[in-house]
Amino acid sequence: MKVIHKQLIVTLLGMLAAGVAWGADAWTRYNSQPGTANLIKMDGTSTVHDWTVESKIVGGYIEVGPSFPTDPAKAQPGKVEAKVEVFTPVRSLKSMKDGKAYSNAMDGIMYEKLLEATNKQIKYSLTEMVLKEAAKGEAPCKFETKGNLTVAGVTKEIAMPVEMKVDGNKLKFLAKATLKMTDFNIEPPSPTLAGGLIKTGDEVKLTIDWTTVKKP
Amino acid sequence: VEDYQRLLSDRELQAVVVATPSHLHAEVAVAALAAGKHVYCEAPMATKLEDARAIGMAARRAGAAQVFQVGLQGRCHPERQLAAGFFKAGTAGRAVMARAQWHKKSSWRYAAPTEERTRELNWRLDRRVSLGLPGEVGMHHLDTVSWFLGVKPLAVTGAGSVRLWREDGRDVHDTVQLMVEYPEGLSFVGTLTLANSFEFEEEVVYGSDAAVVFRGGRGWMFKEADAPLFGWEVHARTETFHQDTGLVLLANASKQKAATGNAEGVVPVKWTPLHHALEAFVRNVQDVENAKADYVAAYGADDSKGLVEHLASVPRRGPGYQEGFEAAVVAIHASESVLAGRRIEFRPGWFELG
Repeated sequence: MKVIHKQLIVTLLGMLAAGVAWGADAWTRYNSQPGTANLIKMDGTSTVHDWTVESKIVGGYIEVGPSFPTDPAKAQPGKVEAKVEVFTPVRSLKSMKDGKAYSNAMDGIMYEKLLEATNKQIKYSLTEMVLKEAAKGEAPCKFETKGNLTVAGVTKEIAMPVEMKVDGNKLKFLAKATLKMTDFNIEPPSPTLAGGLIKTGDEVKLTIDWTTVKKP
Repeated sequence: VEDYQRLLSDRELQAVVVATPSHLHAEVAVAALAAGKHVYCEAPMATKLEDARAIGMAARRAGAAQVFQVGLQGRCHPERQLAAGFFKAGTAGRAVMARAQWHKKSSWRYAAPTEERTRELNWRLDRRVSLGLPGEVGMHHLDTVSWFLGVKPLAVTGAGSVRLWREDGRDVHDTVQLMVEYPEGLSFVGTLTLANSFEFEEEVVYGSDAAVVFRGGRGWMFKEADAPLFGWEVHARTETFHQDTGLVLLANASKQKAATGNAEGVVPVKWTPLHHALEAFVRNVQDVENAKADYVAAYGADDSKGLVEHLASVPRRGPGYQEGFEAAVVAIHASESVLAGRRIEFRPGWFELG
């Protein structure tokens, strides 16, 4: 009897292990791909000229469930299973002009406004992803997403259209959103270096160009 | 520090300032780079061409993951950076000529309790290891010309002698004149002396529309009467010297700033070029280390090729190994010209690290 119990327990444990493994296979993780053209870009305006800040550091991952269209040919519009966490270090954001770093002074103002000393990262966490349009030929899959964006320690839910292309074991995302600094309790900078004469616009256009690669 | 190798083996130590006598830079700088440290090396980078090349090659090998900055301090000085921009943009007109002086009444000699220590301390007075005034001082003037006007010298003619400090048996000249020829007939004339302090130090770069003058860490621009309106001078502060009015070259120091009392952007004049250079070095190191940490946090530590590419995109303030090597080549041959009392022509290949 004891032997039968032991066999039963071993069998159950084996089934449980197999079940766990089966569950893990159902969700696949893609990590941020290093050495690619990852880019977080913010474009804004001011009373003197438009401005751009960029970072090529886009960390994080996406975990996709069975309903996620990793095979765009089989994709069906509707809610998809995905977990996404993305971050960029605030100090990696640099003001840019004509493809080159623009101004250390401007960077300093930006870090101050983003409370870099106490909030080292800008973070995004997905809460909902809905496939609106499956990929057609070269065209990307188009999603509507909702997620929580944390800037300067303030978290707000934002809606963001996202495009995705599947390239072998990579998922490439392009997301765009228009934000307001004041939504994150950031007063648009008016640099005292310029005598307070320059006023920065409240609205910021955010672009995220992000490539992830399937975890081996 | 008695044993610099022990210092370099300290893994906590990120950066090293090589401030040994110039002829000893190479050994320490090359070892520090090989140990993975960020290195600030005082100028001249070396007193021998092979040493300058060894440092340059070591810095190049170290690549983007390490900062190598050479102590051509003027290049980090905001007022000089402002003035350099006027020449590069053509605002000062066509380059006319350059002149510099460094006049001081000083023996350059230090006292020490032992004969050995006295000899070590007074390495600048020993011709076997020292480039003398052309290498220790004139080199900075010549770097200003190369930087502002974007030129490399074609030839140098030097003359020198011991005019005052004859009693101590030194063989390094206490008074030196340099004439340096550049392309298209451009030239530099410099005087350096330890025997008279009249009008201490001054550098002047002349353009056909304006001259810029640096004295004691401050700078001014003197416009020609027929020069076109630059625009910015309307807002600039001015100071009068005898019959000339100079526009103060001080970043963010406009009349509006003075009027509003809103002058936090003004860099204090008391900050020396060395101060600015070391600040630039510290910020460079900080930027590179931050960029490394951020890259690894986002992408892991396995992608060393991607990391190096990323670090190469981190902008650096201040001069690197190529500028340092070129300045050392100029310094070494200027010193050689003074000692030999003859004109030396620079060959284009001399400025290539190899």
